Amino acid sequence: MDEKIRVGIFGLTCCAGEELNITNLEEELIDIAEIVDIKNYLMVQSNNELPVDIAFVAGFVATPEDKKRLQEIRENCKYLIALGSCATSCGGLHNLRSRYALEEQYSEVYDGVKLEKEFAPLSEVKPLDYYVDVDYYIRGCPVPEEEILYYIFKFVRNPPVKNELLPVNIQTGNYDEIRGMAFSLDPKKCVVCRRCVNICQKHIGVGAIDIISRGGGARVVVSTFFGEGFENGECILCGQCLTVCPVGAYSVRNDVSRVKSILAEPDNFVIALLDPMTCTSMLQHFSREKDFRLYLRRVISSLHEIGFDKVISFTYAYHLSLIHQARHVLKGDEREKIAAWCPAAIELIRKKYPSLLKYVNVEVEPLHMLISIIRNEFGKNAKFVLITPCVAYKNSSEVDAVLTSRELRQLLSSCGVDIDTMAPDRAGFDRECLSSGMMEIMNTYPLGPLAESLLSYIHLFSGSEEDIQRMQIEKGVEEIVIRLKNSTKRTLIITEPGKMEKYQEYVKDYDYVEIVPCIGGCAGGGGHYPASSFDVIEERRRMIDYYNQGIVSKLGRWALARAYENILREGVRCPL
Amino acid sequence: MSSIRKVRIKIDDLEVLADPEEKVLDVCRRLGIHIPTLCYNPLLPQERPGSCRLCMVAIGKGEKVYYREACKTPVRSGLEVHTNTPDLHSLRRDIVEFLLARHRRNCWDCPISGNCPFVELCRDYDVECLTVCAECPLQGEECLLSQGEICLGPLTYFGCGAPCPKQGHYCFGCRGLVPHEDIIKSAVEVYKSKGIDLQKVVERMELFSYSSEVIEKFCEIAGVRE
Repeated sequence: MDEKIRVGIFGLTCCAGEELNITNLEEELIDIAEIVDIKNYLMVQSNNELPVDIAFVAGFVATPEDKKRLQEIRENCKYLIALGSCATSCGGLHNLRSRYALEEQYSEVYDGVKLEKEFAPLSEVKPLDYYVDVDYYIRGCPVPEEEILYYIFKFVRNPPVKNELLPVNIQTGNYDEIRGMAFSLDPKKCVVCRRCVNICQKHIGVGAIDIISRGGGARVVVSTFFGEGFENGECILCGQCLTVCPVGAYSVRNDVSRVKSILAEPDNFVIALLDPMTCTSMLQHFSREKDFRLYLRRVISSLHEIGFDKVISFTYAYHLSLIHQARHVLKGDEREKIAAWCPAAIELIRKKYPSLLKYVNVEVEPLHMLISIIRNEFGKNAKFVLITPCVAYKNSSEVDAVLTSRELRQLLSSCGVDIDTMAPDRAGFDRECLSSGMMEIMNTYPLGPLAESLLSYIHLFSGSEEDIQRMQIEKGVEEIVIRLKNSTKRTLIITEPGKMEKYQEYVKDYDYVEIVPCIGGCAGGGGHYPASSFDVIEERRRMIDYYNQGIVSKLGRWALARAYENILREGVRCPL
Repeated sequence: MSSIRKVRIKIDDLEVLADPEEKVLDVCRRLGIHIPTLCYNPLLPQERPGSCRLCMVAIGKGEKVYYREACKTPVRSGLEVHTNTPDLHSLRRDIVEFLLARHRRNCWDCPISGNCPFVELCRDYDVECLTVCAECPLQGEECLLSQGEICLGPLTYFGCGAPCPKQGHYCFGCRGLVPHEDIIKSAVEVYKSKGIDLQKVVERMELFSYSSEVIEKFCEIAGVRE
């Protein structure tokens, strides 16, 4: 039934490099010959004929003979593909001759002898589409081999469509960029796909972003007054719009140059607070390394390499916050009802549900706790750089600079450091600033929802066997009931903050409420490289799990128990 | 689910059983049939704005064919779906072109350049008029323009995957210059902001595209002589 597609490969005036390049498709050439019928290929075979279905034409029109040949090809083919730089853009390198007048060229090349009729060179060089219709363009000098293959197989599979650019340019009006301290939005880049509007309104339940107008004039706006920054509007800086935008209309403040100037100052003692979660998406996108533990150590040693004096794990901060919170949950403290470890969640309560603000203790915010402990440790010249996948910290004034995953990689590569080739740091994170008991346990990452880690601390402090019951109330809302010896604690985990509206009146009945704004917890934060699916986020969580196991298995069960005992007996140096 | 009766539908001449609650897009994803999407967010699968219209499929057979978006069309018994016809291809291609027409193309400064799903779409549907910067992962201080190199990335057709800038060499412009006014304007701005001599840029452009109309326009906008 099938007749093979007839293909011709032609060369006009050029170096014949493109035709030669097709013969370089050594492995695929046999497959190609099976699928298509090569009717015309002067470089390879001697029996050449017309007509063909697809004509690949390389080279440019230099003489009247070329012109005649090109028109003949066009008449005898269905689709004409311009191949290579000479055919697609004004003769490419050969066009450099146009700098000189034709007379000059004659005297230089042919010593004054004039060529006549069809061999006489044309005075001007034009691209192929000046003479005939061209359906497709394969650009480049030389042409990428994959692109030739792509076009050959494309014709075999699908009937092709004509390549004409539509003369359309919809005006998007004079809306300027909306800039803020942390984020900025470029409305002219927006293609009105409504992903960000959906995630902001339906998932977060804030509605900081909205669409105005419909049809061709539609655009996405941030609901602030007169183009003020994001943080002055309803935005809670969760950064979910950054991860879902398919065209990169949202961007986050870049701190790379700020960090560089901090590092360049010789008097500064620079401390990096590195969240291990930051490295997971870097590993996914840009590394050949398989082992996450090794990769993390490579990142630590490259941070030392570019001038950081200390690299401290940011998980300390989470643990400090958790220990504090666990004690107060057991006491039944009103002020500690809502978890304060997530800056975006605090911002959500501050802006959307101010009546709940009495249940939050802002002092227990992890970054605030950690900084107030270690600020005096390193003297006056200490500068703190937080490296985290959470973009909500961009608005924080506690640290001197905040880097996200993308910026960390940008910083390292602009300093000439390739993480893959760095030797893994032998010691790992610096830990001398917190030396109470065996602090290795504080290096583990409390995987969210943090309530699971909270449970272990509650278990530790209550000293009794507890009975845990989990209940999914609806999608995105979970209740955990902990039965202790003398009391029962009820906790509520909300992973879809949009549902908070419904549950805000019930908050007073619970002992602990946690809000997780980002999809997939911190693994889906706005500072990561954008995740295309849940699997990507799940893989990041698995990496962190693997990292935790490394620490726990090294400690052993006995040491782990002692570490917890130490925390219990001596307590942690706590600023509160 | 087992209590609900399944329905029999036909996708690309392939008979399949589907739950009546499913949409056509879900069935296609399950079968591994590729349907391009832009507004459909895999992280929020229940929210389907249906605004990009890239997932259009042909429903029906013969003369009675009508087009519906796959993400919103529910499955019903006897449905006959075609996901890849010449008409659909040209329809989707037009959509990508329209989207690109209203999208500001300053790829050289884009936070997701080198990792952009929209560029993938443009490449799949042969929509040109994007520059090498769209595929170049170098940004900020890494960008060759920031290091003072005269890179033709902001002016050259995309599609090669930016191999030269990735290896630390400036772009020669071998793929030809994009004759789009917005792109030329933004390129002039980029070169000016990086403090690069525009006359030298013109000289470098002449290597592969001497007597191209883009050079004339560039000179006109930049105010340099040819």
